[in-house]
Amino acid sequence: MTAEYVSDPYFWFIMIVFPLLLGISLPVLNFIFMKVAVFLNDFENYKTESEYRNFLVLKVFAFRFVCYFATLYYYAFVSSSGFAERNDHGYLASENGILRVATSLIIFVSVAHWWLIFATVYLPILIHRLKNSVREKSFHALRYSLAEIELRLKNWHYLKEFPHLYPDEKKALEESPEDMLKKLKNGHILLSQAMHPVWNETSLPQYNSLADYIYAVTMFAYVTCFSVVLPITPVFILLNTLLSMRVDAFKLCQTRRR
Amino acid sequence: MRQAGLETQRIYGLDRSKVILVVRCPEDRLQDVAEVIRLRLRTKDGLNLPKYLPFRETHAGIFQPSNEISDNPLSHSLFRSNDRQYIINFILHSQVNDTGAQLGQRSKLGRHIQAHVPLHNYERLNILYKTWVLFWHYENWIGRDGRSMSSDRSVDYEVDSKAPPPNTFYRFFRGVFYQPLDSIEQYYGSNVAFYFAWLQHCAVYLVPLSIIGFFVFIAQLNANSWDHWSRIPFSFIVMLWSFLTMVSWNKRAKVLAHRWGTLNYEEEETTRPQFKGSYKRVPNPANPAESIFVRDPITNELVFNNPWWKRALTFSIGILVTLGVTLGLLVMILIFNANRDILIARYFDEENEDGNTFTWDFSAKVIGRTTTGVFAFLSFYFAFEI
Repeated sequence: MTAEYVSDPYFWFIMIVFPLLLGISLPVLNFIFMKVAVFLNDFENYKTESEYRNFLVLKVFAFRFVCYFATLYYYAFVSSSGFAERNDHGYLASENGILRVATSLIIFVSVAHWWLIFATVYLPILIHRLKNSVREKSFHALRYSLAEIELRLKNWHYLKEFPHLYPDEKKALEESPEDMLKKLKNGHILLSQAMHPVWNETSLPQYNSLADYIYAVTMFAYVTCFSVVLPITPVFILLNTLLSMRVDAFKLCQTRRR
Repeated sequence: MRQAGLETQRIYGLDRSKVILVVRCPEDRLQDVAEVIRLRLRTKDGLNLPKYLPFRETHAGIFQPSNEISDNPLSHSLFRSNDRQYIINFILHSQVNDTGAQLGQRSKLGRHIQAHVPLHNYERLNILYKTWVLFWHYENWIGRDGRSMSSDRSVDYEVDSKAPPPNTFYRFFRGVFYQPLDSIEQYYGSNVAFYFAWLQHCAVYLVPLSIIGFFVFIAQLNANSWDHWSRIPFSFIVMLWSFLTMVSWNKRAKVLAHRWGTLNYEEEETTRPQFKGSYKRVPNPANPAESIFVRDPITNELVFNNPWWKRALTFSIGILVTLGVTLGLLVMILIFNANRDILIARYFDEENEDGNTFTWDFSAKVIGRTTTGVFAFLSFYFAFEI
């Protein structure tokens, strides 16, 4: 490490951007594999709940272990040969290896973790809001059509008397006022039922405690296995744990069904 | 469902193809079923009885009523909401002959049910939200300190209720380590509460380690080298720390389990509703051309399961796919890192003119180019897994 490297953006590009890419894509892969694991578990057709859960944990944990630790173990134990030909008894090589473990680790516990929080907490909120606005629009359309019928009923007398004045309403006049009244009533009942808060609540996603449990275990493993390499890891994990406590609380209270 | 003693309300969706049925169970019906399934409830304190006993309707007086706030202030239910959910679920899934609604997954009508969703109790949820997420608010600290926030029972901690609440700074930095765990357990169940209890436990134990770690890190930065002497004692401290954390968590988990009545709790092994199986048959010993159903020798019920070869087949397919996907991911990560290594190596190699050219190699051979030790790594990985 010299000052020359530190000031070169390309150096930082190789050092930071690569683990960053990995850190961002791993939660996405995890999410996909979670679906695959649940599908496989359903396919395997376990008789009891505990059996089902154990095999799901086994699958998901094996995958996550590879996800989050492969890079770190790779740098810690394997990759130093690129520098081995230099004759400094491998000192530079190990120093570089440690630097790479450290950058990967710091990315995993900071940016990758925050991205995960965003993906599991705020993204569902955004999706939910989007769905809600679509629903609002359809309510609005229904309300508009009901108001139209109401207006027509009110002015039915005039419509009947002077049909030549309202050429657009010709078709509407074929309905009897009783039918229109019935339609209006049913429409209002439907609207009030469809706008019931229960619909909003049941469209929220379900809480999955397994993913959170596994993440807590991973965080603990980072501290025990890798804080020797990067002594500032516990500080990051402490902040993450405190953050997780409140963010998961928020997630449970506001963005998940019970 | 009405025949099964449940009260229902029907709510149509906008396109009329989906319907929500809001189900409520009256208290006497809850008590009936609770007695049948021998639900274990908490008894009143000071009666010299075991803490938890199976429910009996004739002895309803000895059980502690739940102090939950409900939407209906007149109802004083003996059952907590997760008990109620359990009972309603039981009624929905049991047979019509057993006064149930017979809406399990295998029944004719039950197949059309998309999901069972317990509804939030907003009054309680809002209280929980205020004390849990907005923990630093002034009103949460009137008459209590941070320690008592993690408990609902005031008898557990002696608190000077007349002392004025501390300032915001103190409230935030002390309160951040505490959560209303009892209320969480009551509302969401022990599974969720244990997760948050673990986070809290971990956070408290991480404080000293992160202070030490911070100083070691500063020392390393000052020395401009990773190889500072403090790293050796620090690694011992980390080892000790993880041991201490696990041991104390074991203790804490037992205390919490005792408190929430889940100590030595064993899940009842009932068949999952999604389980697809068939009633087991064997050839009739009297007439080998026919087959007869097998009965369990103990319960005398028909044996309902999956043949062993089917289980073995699906299990092996599942494991193979999992292993394949996991190994595939491992190779992908290794290729990715190996490419990064090549780029770095070329960057540091000053004699090479094109040090900054960006190339990318997608073949698995790239792993071998940077390192011959990849097999050592793989064997290490498997040793760890096993």
